[in-house]
Amino acid sequence: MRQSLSAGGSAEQPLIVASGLVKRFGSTTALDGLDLELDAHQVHGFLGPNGAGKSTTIRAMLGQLRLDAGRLTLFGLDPWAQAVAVHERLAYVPGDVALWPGLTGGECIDLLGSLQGRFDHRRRDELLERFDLDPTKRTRTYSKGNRQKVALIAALSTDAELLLLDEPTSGLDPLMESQFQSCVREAKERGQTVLLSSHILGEVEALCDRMSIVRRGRVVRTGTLQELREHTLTSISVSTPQPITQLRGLPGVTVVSERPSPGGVRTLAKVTPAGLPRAVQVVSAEPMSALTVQPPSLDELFLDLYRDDAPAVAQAAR
Amino acid sequence: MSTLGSLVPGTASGPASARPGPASRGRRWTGTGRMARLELRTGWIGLTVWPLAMAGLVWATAAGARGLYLQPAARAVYGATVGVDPASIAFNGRGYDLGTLGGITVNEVGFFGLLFLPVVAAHLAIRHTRAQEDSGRTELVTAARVGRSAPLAGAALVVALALVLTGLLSALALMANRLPLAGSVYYAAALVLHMIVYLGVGLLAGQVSQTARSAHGLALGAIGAVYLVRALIDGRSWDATWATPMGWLAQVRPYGDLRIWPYVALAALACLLCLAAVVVCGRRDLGAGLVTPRPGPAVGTRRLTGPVGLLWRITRGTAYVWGAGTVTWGFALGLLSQETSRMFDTNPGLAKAFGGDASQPEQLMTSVAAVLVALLSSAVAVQGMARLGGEEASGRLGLAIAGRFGRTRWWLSAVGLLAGQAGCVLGLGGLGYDLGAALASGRVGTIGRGLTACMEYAPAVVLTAAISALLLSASLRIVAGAWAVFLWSAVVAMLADTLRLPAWSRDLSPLHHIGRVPFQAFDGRGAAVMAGLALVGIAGSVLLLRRRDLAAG
Repeated sequence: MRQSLSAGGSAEQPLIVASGLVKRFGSTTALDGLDLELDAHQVHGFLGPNGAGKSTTIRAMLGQLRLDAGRLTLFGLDPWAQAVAVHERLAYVPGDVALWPGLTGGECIDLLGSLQGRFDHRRRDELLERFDLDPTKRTRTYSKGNRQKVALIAALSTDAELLLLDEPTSGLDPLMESQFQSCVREAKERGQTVLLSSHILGEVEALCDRMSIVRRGRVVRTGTLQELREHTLTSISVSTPQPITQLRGLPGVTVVSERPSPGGVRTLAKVTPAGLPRAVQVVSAEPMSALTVQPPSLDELFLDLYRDDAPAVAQAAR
Repeated sequence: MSTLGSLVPGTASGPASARPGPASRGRRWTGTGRMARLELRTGWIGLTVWPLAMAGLVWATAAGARGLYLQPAARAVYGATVGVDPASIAFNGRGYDLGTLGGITVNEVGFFGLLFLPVVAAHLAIRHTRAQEDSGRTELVTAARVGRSAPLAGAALVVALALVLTGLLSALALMANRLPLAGSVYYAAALVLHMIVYLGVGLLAGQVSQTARSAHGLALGAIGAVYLVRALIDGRSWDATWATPMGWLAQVRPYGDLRIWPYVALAALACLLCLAAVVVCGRRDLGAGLVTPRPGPAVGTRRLTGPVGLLWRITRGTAYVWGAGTVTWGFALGLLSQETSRMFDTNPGLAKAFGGDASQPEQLMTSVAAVLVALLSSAVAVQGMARLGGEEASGRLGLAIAGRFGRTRWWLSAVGLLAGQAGCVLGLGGLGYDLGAALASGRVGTIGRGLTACMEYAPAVVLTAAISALLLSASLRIVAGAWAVFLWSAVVAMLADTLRLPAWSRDLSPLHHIGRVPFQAFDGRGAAVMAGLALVGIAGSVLLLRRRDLAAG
């Protein structure tokens, strides 16, 4: 079951409302009841393993795919029926950028910017410099990273209310990645909303106010990084002369293993945030020789969410 | 590069932030003009070269007809020979007003007007729609203020413009050869409308298929089918010229008793096809066609892992389609084989006029069929080479030969496989012809004649393949030049006499060196020389390929 951790209380109408989106391609189900809400003036991370349905969702938001079921609105409009009205207010960067081989990079940027509409030429020139792109080269000679820069500069030079970025930095080097991050922050300061699909956890952690994690065509988690962490387990590893019998049976505590160690027994337990105070009390009463308490790393958190069919919280609640 | 100015309107054009009201519903066509300008800006070379080439052919045909048939006596002979020859009627369509130079010109334009011009129209349509979508560029522009149907409409406008340009130039070309003004304009207008029908076919194929490649296959198949049906109707003198748009074109009779209904019918069909394309476009997902691809095997078998296996796997779909198409084509021509005999039976003097052996009249048809099959087979070889170029440009070749197999082995496997496919197409076409001929005549004794005639073209086809291989191994950029060899072979095979081509220019076509077998004798020495040249060419291509950089990957 999907667990919504949304804090709620946003006075404004959400910019994007998706409920129960279903999209099938023949026998494959790409979206299987996807729900998502995106508030204005936020950077929202969109994460998930390959083939989870991130790009399909974004293309549905662009009105390029027709949904089999569900309701999707952007700015309160239906993106399939009112595609152009929606597009006037957003800018898009695909993960794999194709450009016109006969045009130069600069021409492509101006073309894409003017097709979007709210194009700021001064910002375009500034971004060209920041992303270190030569606009006079024909796009035929561009690498993947340079093609991506073209689409990024075109999108970031607009005053679109919403930026849909589908893995926009997969071809960029670390220097350009940091430029990208500051550009997204500036966009947010200008009041733009960003939906950022990404595999780069550092980027998501640095930029995103909230994030949604997609797996098999559904959103399995939505929340701030803090909220996502709250639903994960802290590991406690403790060495004591005797097994800590009291630890078993405490609410929110799962004893993973008890192994003999040089000084006695080494116990490994996973503890929910709610069970943590009581568990630490019990452990600290023991004559322990070693103790580590470890919050989950970001990588672990995502790996768990990407991989696991039974979410960690459900496991701990047994 | 300043032309982009026209693509990018000033920012002063109005506040883009205006809230879209209920009036904004739909807006499927928003941005059509800008898409048209973008297509013009990025595709102007093809959009001007093709009209020039097509109008150039019309000019050359008219000039050739003028040179050959200026005298009324020559026109009378034309009407009594070509005018009644079922093979000519099958290939060029029914001729009218053959007593006039205009009528003869129209009849001589027939073959390429019915086959080549439609293929170009459909190709341009696909190139500016589905090929753009294939590349991902359409996804980029339709994410901006561009309506769902705007890329389609913009491309249709631009290609229609190129076709109208073709018509204008053709009318001028006809008038330049002192054909009557009114008739020339009428005929050019009919040619344009006829091409716009196939623009519609190309647009619809582009919407229905998922890739530009399959769209091309679908459109070519449709054009080939219409042509064959018309060839049968005309060749066997059935009273059904109304059945195909190609039949309508002949009914215009621009230099005689002009008829209006074919114009109306062509325009109506073109509108219908474009409308169908628009309807499909409005209902499908971007990047998809009407048919969802089925899942394939999850495991690569051992057969796939060698270079030949991989190449066969990526070309087999095309190979099957070519094979089936050639059999059908050969079979239909075989069905017409008796018509020529009947003509010679009723008029024995004619055989001499065609310059061949009158004792075996059906061989006239066999020779036409054989050269057509040889052309198809050459196309298989050239298209396969272009495909190999595509493999390299996409970086897939680099990936494939990063493994155990070196360049040379991969290359020789590819050349061998393509030559084999081209050879199979030759054989299948010949067999199809023999079957059709046997069915039409009720005799099985002639089976094998078509096959032999077709196979005699094998050295020329292999030479064409070797020239393509040389071009590709020299540089990826010039592989398209191989199509020039094919096109020239086609021009020489079908239009050499019409255009009064000089002997040296005919010699540039590999097929020409074989001779019109079996109507004329097989040139064994020419064939041997060409086979030797082909081997040298293939060896040279290996050397060239080993010396140059891979284009990608």
